[in-house]
This record gives sequence, C-alpha cells and structure tokens, in this order.
Amino acid sequence: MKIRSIDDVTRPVEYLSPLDEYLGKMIRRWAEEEVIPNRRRYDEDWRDHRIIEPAFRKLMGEMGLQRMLFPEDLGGWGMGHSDYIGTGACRMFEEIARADSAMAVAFGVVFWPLVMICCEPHVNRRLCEEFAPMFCRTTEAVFAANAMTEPQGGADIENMEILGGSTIRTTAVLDGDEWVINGHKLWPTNSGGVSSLFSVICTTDPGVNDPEAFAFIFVPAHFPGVTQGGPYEKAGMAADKNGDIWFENVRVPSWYRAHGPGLDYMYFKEVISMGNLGSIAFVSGALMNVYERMYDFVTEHRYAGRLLREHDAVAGALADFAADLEVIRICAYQYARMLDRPDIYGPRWSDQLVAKGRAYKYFACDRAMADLARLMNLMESYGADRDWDIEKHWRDLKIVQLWMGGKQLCQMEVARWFFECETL
Amino acid sequence: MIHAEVFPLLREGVQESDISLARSIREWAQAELAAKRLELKEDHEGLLRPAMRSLFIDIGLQKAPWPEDCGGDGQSAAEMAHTAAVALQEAARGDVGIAWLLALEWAVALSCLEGSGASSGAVKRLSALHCEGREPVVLSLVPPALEGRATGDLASWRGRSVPLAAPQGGGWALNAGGLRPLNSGHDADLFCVLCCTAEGEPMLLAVPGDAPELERDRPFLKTGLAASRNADISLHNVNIDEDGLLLRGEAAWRALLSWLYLGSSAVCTGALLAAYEIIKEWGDTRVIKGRDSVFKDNPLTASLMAEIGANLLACRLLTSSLAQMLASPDLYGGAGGDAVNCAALTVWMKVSAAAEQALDNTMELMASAGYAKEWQLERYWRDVRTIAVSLGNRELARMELARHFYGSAAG
Repeated sequence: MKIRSIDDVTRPVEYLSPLDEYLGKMIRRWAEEEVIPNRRRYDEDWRDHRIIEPAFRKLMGEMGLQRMLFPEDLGGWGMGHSDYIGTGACRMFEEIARADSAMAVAFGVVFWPLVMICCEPHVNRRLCEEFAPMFCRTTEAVFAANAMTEPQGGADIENMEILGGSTIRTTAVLDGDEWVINGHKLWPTNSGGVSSLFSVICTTDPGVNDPEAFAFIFVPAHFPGVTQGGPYEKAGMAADKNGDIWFENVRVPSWYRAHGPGLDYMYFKEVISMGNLGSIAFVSGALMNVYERMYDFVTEHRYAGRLLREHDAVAGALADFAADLEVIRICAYQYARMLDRPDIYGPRWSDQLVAKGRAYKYFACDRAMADLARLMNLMESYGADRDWDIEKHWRDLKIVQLWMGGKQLCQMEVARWFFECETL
Repeated sequence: MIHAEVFPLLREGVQESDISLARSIREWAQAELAAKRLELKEDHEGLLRPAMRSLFIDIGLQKAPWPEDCGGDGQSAAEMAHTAAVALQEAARGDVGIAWLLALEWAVALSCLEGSGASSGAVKRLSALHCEGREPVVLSLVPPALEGRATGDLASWRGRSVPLAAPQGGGWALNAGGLRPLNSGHDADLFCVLCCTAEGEPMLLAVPGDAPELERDRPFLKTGLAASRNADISLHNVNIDEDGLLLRGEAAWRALLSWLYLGSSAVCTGALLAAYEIIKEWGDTRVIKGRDSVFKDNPLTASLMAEIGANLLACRLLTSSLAQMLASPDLYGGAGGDAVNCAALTVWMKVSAAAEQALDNTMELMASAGYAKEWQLERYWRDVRTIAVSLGNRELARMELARHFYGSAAG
C-alpha cells in the first residue's frame, strides 16, 4: 500500500501563509479535474488553446485567482497588502505546476506587471483603480504580460546592473500628457494574442546607462498602434503563448508609467525577484508530480523478479532525485519567506535578494534537469512516452531553465553580489 | 567533409567511397530535409517518408550490407563499420530519426550476416526484402523489456521479459501482448522480436508486418524521433518458420547490440554536428551587451562553447574507435564477444552522455531560440534524448560493465 505522498515532501511549515491550506486544496482539485486528465493533448493545442483555455477560465476567472493582488475595496483579495505574497504565491505556483508548469507561468505572469502597482510599499492606487475592473469584474480569464525582451539583445535588458537599460530600443517619448511608445518586443509569456494588458519596458533616453531613463509603462492591448503576432511553437510549455509585439506610436496617458524616473528601475528588480520565486516554485511543483509518476513506474515494473525500486542501483538514482526535491522545495519556501519579510531580509528589489533568487533558480533548474534525464533513462522507452508525463516535465523545465536570461546571466549576478565583481 | 579539420575523423579504414557517400548524404540532407523543414516540420508523410525513400532507395543505403548475389552491395562487415560511422553522422544532421532507423536496419543485417545462427533462407528473405523493392523497408526491433507491461506467454531472460518461443512444427509460436518495440511499431514492415526458448536460449525471430496474428496499438506520442512512429504490438499465436530465425544465442544478440551501439553513437554525433553548426552561427553573429560584443568572444559563453566542441570531438573519436574495433575482429574479437560488446556499450554510454550534455549546453546558450522550433535545435535535443532512453536503463547497463571489468555478480 502506498503510504507516502507529495505532501510528505518537506517545506517549512512555520512560514506558510494563512491561505495555504485553502488555496492548496482548491487548486489541487482544479488540477486533478481540469488539467491532469487533458494535459497530454496540450502540445497539439499550442496555437489554438481550445483544450487549454477552459481550464484557465475556471482557475482565473471563475475561481477568481486573477483578482488576488488588487485591494479588497476594488474587488480584489488584497494580497498585495499582505505579508504572505511570497509564500502564498509559492503554494499556488507549485500546485499549478504540478499539473502543468506552462499554465503556472501564464498564471504567474499575470501578476508580473501588477506587482509593480499593487504591492506594498509601492502601491500606485490610481493605476490599481484603472486596471482592477479589467481583472475583477469578469469571470473570463484575463491575462497580462511583461514586455521586456527585444530581438537584438535577448536577456541584456535583465542585465540591469551592468547595462543599466542602455540596450533598450523601445522608446517612450513624453508628448504633452501622453507617452508615445515605439518598439518591438518578443517572447513575453502571455503574448501571442492572449493578453489584455502589457507592461512595457522602455527607455526615455536611448543608449544611456541611466536608471532615470528606465521606464515601466502600462499599455492596454487594444490601444491603437499595438500589434501582436501569433505564438511561436516551442519544445514544450504549450499553455504559455509567446510571440512578437509591435508598438507603433502607441499613446497612453502619462500616469500609466508605474512610478517614474529611478523608481521604475528600482522596483523593477522586484519583478525579477518574483520571477525567480515563480521559477523555483514551478520546478518544485513539477518535480512533485515527477515523484508521483516515478513512484508509480518503479512500482509497476520489475527487473529480475524484483520491483524496479528495490534494485539497489536504481534506488540510488531515486534517492538522488528525492534529495534534490527536498532541497528545492525547502529552497522555494525559504526564498518566498525572504520576499515576505522585508523587515528581516531587506526589500524585495535589493541586489542581495535578486542575486540569491537567481542562485536558487539556477540551482533548482540544473538539478531538476539532471534528475529528469536520469529518471527518464530508468524508464527506458517509457521515459520518452507522453503517457508517463515525465518527458513533458523534462521539456517544460528546460524552458524554465533557459528563461529570464538563462544560466549565464544568473551566474553573473550571483558572482557579482557574492564576490563583489565590478566589471562582469 | 566540411568539419574534417575542426573535428578530425579517424581515417584508418575509411574509404574514399565513404567520404564521397558522406558528401552525397550532406546534399540529400540539404535538398530533402533542410530546404523543406520550416514548412513541413516533422510531417511524416510529407517530409520524412519521402526523404527516407530518397536515402534508402535512391542513394541505396538500404541494400549496402546485403550480399551481391542477392542484389545488395555486398559490403563486408569491416567496410560497413566505417561506412556506418561516417554515413550515419551525416544522415543524422538531416534527420536523427531517419538515421537511427537506418542504424537499426544495418545492425540487424550485420549481425544476421555474421554467422549468428540465421538460416540461409532467412538471409535470402531479408535480402530480397531490402534489395528488390522500391520502397524503404522499416524494421522494428522488439527488445527485452522491464517486467510488468507485457502479457501472455513470456519468459524471463537476463532479468527482463521476452516472449516465449514455443516449438511448433519446424518453427516457433509466439503469443504475447503489450510488447513495446524500440521503434516504428506503427509502420514496420518486419518486426524482429527477441524471444527465448523454454531452455533459456535467446533468439531473434522475424514477424512480418502483415501477419494476421499481429495487432498494433495506436501510435503513442513521444518526445522525439518523428520518423519512427511507434506503437505497442501484440502477437496472437504467430507462427514463425525456420526461415524466420535471424539470430540464435546470447553472443549473436550481443553482436546486434554492438552494431546498434555503433550506429546510435554515430547518429548522436551527427546530431551534435548539426547543433555545432547552429551554435557556431549564433556565436559568430549574436551581439550581446550592446553593439561591440560578439557572443563567442565573451569568456563565459566561450567556455561553454569550448565544452560543446570538446564533447563533439570526443564523440567523433570514440565512434571512429568503435568502428575500428568492429572492423577488426581478428584483433579484438567478434562483435558478440564480451570485450567488444562492453567496449561498444561504454562508447555508447559516453557518446550519448556527451551528446546530451552538449545539446543541453547549446540550448542554454541560445535561450529562447534554443527551445523555439523554428531554430531547429530543440529537435536534435529531443531526438537524442529519445534514443538515449530507448537503448536502456544506464543503472542496469552498468551491471554489465561491472561484470566485465570486475567480475561483479551484481544483477
């Protein structure tokens, strides 16, 4: 009889959010009913999302999770004002990623732009009031995207410490009381035609390495001059659409800029921290499902008359995976706690928390990819068989490993902080 | 050979005809696959099957190892070892799945022709199949499997489950369900099923794809190798006559595996060659950190690119060395001998691990372009992974090596 379950994988219970059990159960039920029975057909649904979209609608619109950051008086759940945004998000991301990490990132990225305006201590009440109805007065899934990456520089824009926004080519020019935006972004999660709202990383002074010129400006997708391309086909993560977005003389009110010169740059680092938290939690959640599926596999298959899991060499590989899962999950909640408690660990946008988030993220991804490769190999030809789900997580987590600048940018930021490198 | 100077190929035993063949295969890959890939992607009927026909029939690789008096090219095993190492690398640049199907065909042919217990009737039958038709022949290998999925009349052989070959008339009957072929269960013209007598002797029996007692499940979705549409099969009291006996005895099976390890190593090396070409172009042209810094000139990325190149070079050298061993049974023993088989397994494990590592690293360097299908790289990553898992559990394979290297009794 199976005694162990994913809930036996350790996390620091003293850190959990008050909503942990409620949200965890709710999302797990959703995952079991709406996603897991259908996810093996997701890859072929990458362009149209005919199978995928109803599950998003249920999670975000009907269950209302897309409202969670907005203040309660605007129809939200008020998590932006709480001291458990990190641990709360961690649990939600884990549970969604257990079913499908692409759905987890599509869900999580809805809040990337909103973190900038909904979270203490930098709430922009006017922008909350402006955009809350879009998310809180509907039962349809509403997506947002953070339009950051550009064709010419890839992750250069995220390499803020050294490049300071100097490679950004998307421009924002103040014309009266409007920003006029021009540029080309690609690859944001929730592009490819699904988003209703973009946050656009722009420069007000192209080519300069100056935090004052870094601008974070909201652009509703239906505004004139915004054009979206179709989604790219990828190795995995079919539920996350990525495409091109062109901004051609797009005009938005001047107060659509999140905070203003210097502050946009500073708080944007919090977006990076939250992205790293999400990435670690996605890895943790996906690996929890890998644990479930591998448990089944090594219990259903035998070698030389013994259960596969009872073979010492195989058990060694299983143990290595379990050890990594334990560490990665603890790491995810530890980092979430660090983001929840700026009074102890400093602001979420500090260089320290950004660097440590990068470190945990690339550690988790590297370990996960090594484990998944080894586990797939234990399964022989069933390792590549979609019916066993492991190969899906392998394809999906590779993308987690590569996004947000990939490993090399992570390494540079970690080295820069821990060793005080100055020229990397 | 375009990369001969950067990644030398061991030339001992390699004929001019092999080099010329490699050139032809490079042209085939460009014309039949690369030029159509963006539009047709992994379309089996539109892209892969026609490309297979061109490689197997028009270029003629399908008949290369079969005897001349049966219509084949009559290449000896020694010649074929080098040809496989060179040709399969080039073929894999075009499509890993097609190249691997060819590697499987050649492994069956070479082990079958090496006096491994196959009857002359079996050789004639297989030769005719490969040399007389105008369509590519797809062989599917059904190897021993982990216990737990297959049903019916089964035997345990070396810790794994295989169909029991029950004597019937002058031949054998097979009755087993839920068998997982290594490849092409959906399309195969002939299934080569490893089974076992009640006395524990392994045999490779040929089951025609059109046998009425053969049942194919629906093709299952998998990570890569689109050219190999795979499906589980069931055999409902299939009768095999003596001309269906392809191999007999453990050494014969090990010989087949040795040839398959060579072919698979060459295929993975070819995939890595393709990845090298992609990352080379990326490194030459991608500008980072503003206007003046080219990707390959950054020390961190250059370090990883160097590792990729080193892995590719190691893969080529190891594959060539294994070809040399298989081409020289007078020096190293036969393909089914313990020493050569363990060397082949070792080369395969090292080459597949190095190729996977290098492909992982290449993906990392290219980030979103690494996993976007239009950049082509991710296909090689998925294909190589699929071959790597299909050829067996490495933890268990190490027991074979421990037995050979240390006399370990661990099973």
